[in-house]
Amino acid sequence: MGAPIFAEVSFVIVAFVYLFLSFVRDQKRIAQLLSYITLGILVSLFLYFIGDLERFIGNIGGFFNVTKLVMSSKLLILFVSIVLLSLVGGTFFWKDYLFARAEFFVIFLFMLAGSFLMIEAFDFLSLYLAMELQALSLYVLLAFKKDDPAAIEAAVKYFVLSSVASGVFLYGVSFIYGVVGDTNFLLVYEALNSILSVEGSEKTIIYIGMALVLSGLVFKISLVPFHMWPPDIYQGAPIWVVTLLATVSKIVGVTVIINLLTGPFKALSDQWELFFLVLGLLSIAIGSLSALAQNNLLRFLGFSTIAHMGFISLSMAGGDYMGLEKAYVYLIIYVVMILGFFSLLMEGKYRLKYIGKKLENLDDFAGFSKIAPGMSFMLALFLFSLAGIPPLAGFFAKLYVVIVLVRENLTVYAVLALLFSILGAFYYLRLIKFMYFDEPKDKNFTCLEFDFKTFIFFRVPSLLCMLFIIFYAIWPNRLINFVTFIFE
Amino acid sequence: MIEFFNSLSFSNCMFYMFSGVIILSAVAVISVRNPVYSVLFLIVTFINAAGLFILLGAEFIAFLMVIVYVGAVAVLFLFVVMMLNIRNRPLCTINRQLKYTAIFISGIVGIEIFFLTRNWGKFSGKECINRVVENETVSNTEMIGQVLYTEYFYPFQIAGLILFVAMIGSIVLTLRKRAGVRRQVTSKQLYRTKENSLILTSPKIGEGVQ
Repeated sequence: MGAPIFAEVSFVIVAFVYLFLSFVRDQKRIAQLLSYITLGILVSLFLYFIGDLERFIGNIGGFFNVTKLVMSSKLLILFVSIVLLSLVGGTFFWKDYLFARAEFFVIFLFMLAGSFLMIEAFDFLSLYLAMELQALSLYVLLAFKKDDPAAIEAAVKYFVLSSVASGVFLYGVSFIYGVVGDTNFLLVYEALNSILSVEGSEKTIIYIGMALVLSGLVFKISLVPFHMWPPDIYQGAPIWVVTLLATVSKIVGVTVIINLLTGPFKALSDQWELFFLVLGLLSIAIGSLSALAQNNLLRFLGFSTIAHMGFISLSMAGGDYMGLEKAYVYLIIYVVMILGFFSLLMEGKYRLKYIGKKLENLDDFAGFSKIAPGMSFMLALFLFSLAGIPPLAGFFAKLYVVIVLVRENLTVYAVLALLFSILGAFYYLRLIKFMYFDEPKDKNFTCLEFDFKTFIFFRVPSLLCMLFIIFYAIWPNRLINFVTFIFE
Repeated sequence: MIEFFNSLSFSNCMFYMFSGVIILSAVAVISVRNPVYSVLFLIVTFINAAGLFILLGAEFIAFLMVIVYVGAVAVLFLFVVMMLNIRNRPLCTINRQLKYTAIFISGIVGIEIFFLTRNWGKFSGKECINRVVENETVSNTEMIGQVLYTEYFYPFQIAGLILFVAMIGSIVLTLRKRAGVRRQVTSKQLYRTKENSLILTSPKIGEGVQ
């Protein structure tokens, strides 16, 4: 009874309660309190969900449909948001009061509710509305740093591009609605099945509609023709919001696309396989090549995101459940890697800011291993994993994609993708070279001291992520079996 | 010609009147020099479009048109135009490239409408599209209300949440504490007592209050 959308309803109710706390004068203390309370709520939801995944499966009014895939994406998003809230607590500890307002938590919870509704949407109408709910909250979060022109520029850019993308999405939906006469996924699936078996001119309209719908969604995961936003926005926006965009937004985008491909567009698999093949290869090529020219770390990460999403897209092009499963495995591994990397980066930024240094460009990392040995070691591990060096999880993610492509007789594409990712690897390794083989810029540096609260807020999440990517190689079958289980 | 005038019923008459005024005022919107007049012509366009919807029997959309577009959007435009203090510019300063782009885009829209009207029959026969207006005895405002709160309950609630987030977001983004602004702090005012705000002295002549 109402169990499938239990989490969303509770988020909205809690957000309304929080709104009353924005009247309190001492917002810093309230925000600290709220970050702990929200953390508690999310952890308890996580434990509640993980206890029995199948209890929450069900359909609500034809607009939402919770499946095992949706539940596992929800769990992943909850894990990511727990880490994100811990990072918010860390920013308060380092006297950065950008997010020290009760409204921040209200908007964050609405963003989560929007994401959850989006991944379980079973109708183009509810999908669009949930997409807008999530996007609107993201715009506000991006523009939170009102005094910084770069952040405002990033927010406006994302706002304009994302609005255009949702316009494209709606345009595509209108084509499908025009042919089918309904927006429900199940009805669209049945109607497309019967239409495609008959020869007729309506086929073209459906193809155009599907391409437009997928383009609107592909914007969220920044595949190539829609890849202009991540570098600029990663560079300008507050780093916490960048972490949000790089993780939650990607999980939601990939899950929704998988939902569409296994649902309404299942009958059109010949068409979308080509679509994702071309987009994926282009993304890997452009992402890896453009990353070479970057000097700003976050800009570089923006391009590396494009390349990684290209691998997910290539895996989807493998078609079939096999390809989608491996795309999902890649997504999980990528999210864990990038989450750990960003939380380390945030810690490094705050600690170096405290001693009056910056950590923006790649050469700021010169001799970082002498200033912060532990942090550099973990950063190096994450970079190796992002580059795809064997014993770490990132290697396996790429390996699965290659296996999928070879099985589908797309060996040429696999070889090309690997060649481009070698180019990318050069760049990840260059950062490691800066950290380990260069001398620090000023000679009389001091080693960073151990700090307990920073350890709890920033290091514990990244340690968890690091354990995952190191020990993945020992039990790779656990994740594979889990993903096979949720896809069946 | 005579046959044409004989065929004019009341609603046909109204249709030609409304659409004629729409075309004329739409042309006026882009050709009038004073921006305030141009917004006023926009309002005329909206009201006449609402008239067209009433002719179609969609009175709910007609009222929505008047309330939302005329009551909110156009008035907002009017405020913005009046606040911006734009000078009357001659029309020929419009960028030539922009003009060609405009012609190109309206050409595309024109072609789309042409093909749509030719293939109209293909789409109107679908059963689901007309699902809402199946009961003729109830007015369509009532019908929309019934469907909105039953079948479309979840999307309707999410739409409400979207508006709520938009409201909170705009407040969060525009409310800022500026330095040097004298604001009223109610608690400080309430904490004032006779003891800490009132001095009773009897100053001597030529010295004043010390």
